[in-house]
Amino acid sequence: MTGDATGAFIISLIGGILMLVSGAMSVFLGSICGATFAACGATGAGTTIMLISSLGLVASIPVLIGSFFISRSDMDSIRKGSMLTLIFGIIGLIFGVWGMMFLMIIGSILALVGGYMGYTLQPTA
Amino acid sequence: MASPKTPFLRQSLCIVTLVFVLLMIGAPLLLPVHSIPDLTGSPGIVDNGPAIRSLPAPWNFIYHFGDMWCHQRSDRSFAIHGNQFPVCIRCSGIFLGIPIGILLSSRLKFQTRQNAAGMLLIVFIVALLPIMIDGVGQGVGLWESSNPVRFITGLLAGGLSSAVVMKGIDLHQASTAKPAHP
Repeated sequence: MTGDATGAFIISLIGGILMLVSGAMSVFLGSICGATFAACGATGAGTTIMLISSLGLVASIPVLIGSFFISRSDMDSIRKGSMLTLIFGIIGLIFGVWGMMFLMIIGSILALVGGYMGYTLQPTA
Repeated sequence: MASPKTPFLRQSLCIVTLVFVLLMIGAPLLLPVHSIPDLTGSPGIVDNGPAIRSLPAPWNFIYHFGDMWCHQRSDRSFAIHGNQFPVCIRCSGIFLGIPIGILLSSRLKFQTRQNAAGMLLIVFIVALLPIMIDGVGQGVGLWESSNPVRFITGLLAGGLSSAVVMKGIDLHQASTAKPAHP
C-alpha cells in the first residue's frame, strides 16, 4: 500500500496543464516573432525564439505523463512519475526563465512541488 | 483533515500574496499624481525601463515586475490619482484572487479522498475556462471583451486555481501526517 498521492497528482497535473498552455501560447506568438525576425535577416534570433518556445511545450508532455503515473496506486509508478515530473519541471523552469514565460515558470514550480510531494511519499502499512 | 503544518503554510502564503496585492494597489495610490506615464507594451519584455528605474523603492520593483509580466495597456488597466496600476485589469483580478482563494480553500470539503481528485480537477477547469474563452475569443477577433469581464474572469482564475493548489497541499499533508499515538 502507498500513502495517498492525490495532492501530488493534482499539483503536478495543474503544473503540466499550465506549462502546456504557456508552451502553446509561446509557440504561437514565438513563431510569429521568429518569422518576423528571420524575415528581417536576424535568422539566429528567430530560430532561438522558436526553439525556446517549442522546447517549453515539449517539456510539458512528460510532466503530464508523470502526473498520471503519480495517480497510480503502486509506489514504483509514483516514484517514476515523480522523477519524470521533477526532471522536466527543471527543464521547463530553465526555458521559462530564459524566455521570460511567467506561466511556464509557475507551471514548472507547481510540477516541481508535485514531483517532490510524490517522491517523498512514504508507503503505508 | 489538514495537518498542523498546513495552517502555518496557508497563513504564510496568504500574507505574502496579500502584501503583493497591497503593494500593487499602494503603488499608484502613494506615488505623486500623474507620475506614471503610459506603460503600454508587451509581456515578457522590459519596455518601460528608464521610466520605472526613476521611481522610488519599492514601487520600482512592483512596476518592473508588472512590466515583465503584463502588457500594461493603459486602456485595460485600473488607475488611481492618474497613475495606472502595475498590471492590467485581468492580471489585477488574478493577483487579488490568489489570497482570497488560499483563505477560502480551508472551506473546501470532500466526502471521500477518492472523489477529491475529480472535484479539484473540475474546479480547476471551471477556474480556467472563462478566462481562456474570453482571452481566445478576443485574441482571434470574435469579440472585444470589457473591463468588468476581464476582472471577473481573472478573479475566478486566480481564486479558484490557488484554492485547488492549496487543497492539494492540504491533502498531501494529511496523508503524510503521522497518526497520533494513544
